[in-house]
Amino acid sequence: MCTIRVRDLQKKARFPIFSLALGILAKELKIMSRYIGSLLLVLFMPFGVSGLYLGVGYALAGEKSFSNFQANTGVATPLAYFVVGGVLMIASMVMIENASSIIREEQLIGTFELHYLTPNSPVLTWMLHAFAWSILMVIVFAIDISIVLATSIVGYDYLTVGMIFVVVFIGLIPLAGLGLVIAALTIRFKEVYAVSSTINAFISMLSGFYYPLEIFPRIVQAVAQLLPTTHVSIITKTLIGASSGQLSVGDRILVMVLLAFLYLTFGKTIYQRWENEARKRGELSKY
Amino acid sequence: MGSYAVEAHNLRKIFRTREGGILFRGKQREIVAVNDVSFHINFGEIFGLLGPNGAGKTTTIKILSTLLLPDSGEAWVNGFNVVTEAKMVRESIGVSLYSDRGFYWKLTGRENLMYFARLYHLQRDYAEKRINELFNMLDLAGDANRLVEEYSTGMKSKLNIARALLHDPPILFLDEPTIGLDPNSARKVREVVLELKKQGKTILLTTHNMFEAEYLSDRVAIINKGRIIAIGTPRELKEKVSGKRVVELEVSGNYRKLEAGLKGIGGVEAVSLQENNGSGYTSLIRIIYSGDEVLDRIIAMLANSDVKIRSLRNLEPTLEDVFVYYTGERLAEKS
Repeated sequence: MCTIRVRDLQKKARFPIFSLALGILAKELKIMSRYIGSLLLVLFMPFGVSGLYLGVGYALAGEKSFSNFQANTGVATPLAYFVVGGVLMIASMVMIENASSIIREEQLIGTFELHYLTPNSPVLTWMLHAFAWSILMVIVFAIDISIVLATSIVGYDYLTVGMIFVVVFIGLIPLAGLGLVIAALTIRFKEVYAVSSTINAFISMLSGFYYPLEIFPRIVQAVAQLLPTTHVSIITKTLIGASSGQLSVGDRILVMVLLAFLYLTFGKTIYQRWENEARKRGELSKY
Repeated sequence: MGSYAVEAHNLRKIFRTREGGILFRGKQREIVAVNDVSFHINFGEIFGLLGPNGAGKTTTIKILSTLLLPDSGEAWVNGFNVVTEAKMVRESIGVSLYSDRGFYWKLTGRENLMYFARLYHLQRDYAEKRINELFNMLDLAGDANRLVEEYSTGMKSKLNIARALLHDPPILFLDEPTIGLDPNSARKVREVVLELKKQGKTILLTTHNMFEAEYLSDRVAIINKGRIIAIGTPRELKEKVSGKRVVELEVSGNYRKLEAGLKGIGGVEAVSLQENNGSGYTSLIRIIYSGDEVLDRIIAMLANSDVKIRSLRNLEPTLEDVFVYYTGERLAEKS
């Protein structure tokens, strides 16, 4: 066989996956920093939505709204409860839409198929995009939660706060699996928001971001346990003392890791199936 | 297989599309984009794929660059099979698919290239050196730190070539690299292509510009409706119409009804028409013929019609005439 190898192969990074991950993280950070309005929106949205819910509660129950909330849910700090729920909801929405909206945007600007010309697994490439965004979301979470904790009457230790960040990070990763499924549909149908908004609506409703899941019938509660966001929501609120869960934090983290594995495997399988189909049909080039 | 830089055997690709329909998609139609395409490219050669829009040039490049799976046929790039050894093919090639798309507008030219350097796993120090080298080669050094959203079409086209060259691949696929560029930018891109050939690169270049194909290519394949209809050096291709004469007539009036008559004149081998300037008043008729008295008969036929001859030029055969000779259509008209 007569082949001419790439001249500078010896100039390749020793750990290709780190090179890829760093490149993606740097790109996403730079782009996000240049669309600062979107970043600020993500940062302040949880406070806005929490304010909305508090307002609705006050309108319904007046001065008794806090005590009613505590009596019905066992939660003593509604503001912390809502803000944490709001941050998780926004973060989960971003994560679910992430792979598909990035793919859609890359299709429109013509960079999508260029990724297929590089010697990387496309699934890994989009997963690393999700990974980069989950880091960004943890940073956003850190800022928001710091504001909540700073204004809260309850004291928190650094270990608890660090653990919250780890839990949020682990909880966001499986959502990338759902993101990959939507991404697969995006390659084929080019309609991101129809699918992602539907999924987001269900996740928002069933994850208990703004209310305890005990308000639902048992069958709905059981379905909700299949969502990683349900566990993140419960763990986070338990850790800041805004709620208490039936399973221990350790058990729930184990469930989340298991769910992460299942969701990512599912997402990878669906995406690769559609991708192969797209390479046959020429869909990779369409936008 | 693998003694050539690129080798394609009987490549075929059909796209299935649906026409019409609102809620429900309409009737399915098959478009044969690439039909039994075979060719090879030697190492160090510039190979031009010349054809009008929709001829199958980009589809061929996409199959060779692993973006598209062929329905049948096989191809090898740098000795690697494009279906079963796709990763090695991607390591071996640099591809420029668009002249002005394919960048992150909110990143600078340098940041864009650094991102793709990371995707090719280049070490940071080496990547920085390589990016500077490419910016200098392409006269973009002064604009390296500007956001791509501020780049002109010509600058984006050059940046596209720079990206294709980042990992210093031995084989380059350039899809219409000068399309939409002003003459100066197009000239610069052509100079770069020739410089890359001097560096030993193998280049597959698609174009619908016959001048570009002839100027740059060591060998040219003319492609139309998914089929390669002629292949050879520009000189060899032109020899296919050597001994034949080419005349270009600018006429006004309804030429279309005379077309069949002109083609029926003995000695006329091909006739093509191009509506001129979009004005609708004049048309350019290019006729390939052989024999001394044929031109007289052509002029007589036109003179006896309501068509008026505005000008007449005898021309040297070009690749355009090779295209007309084989297809009966003008390349410029179809593009």
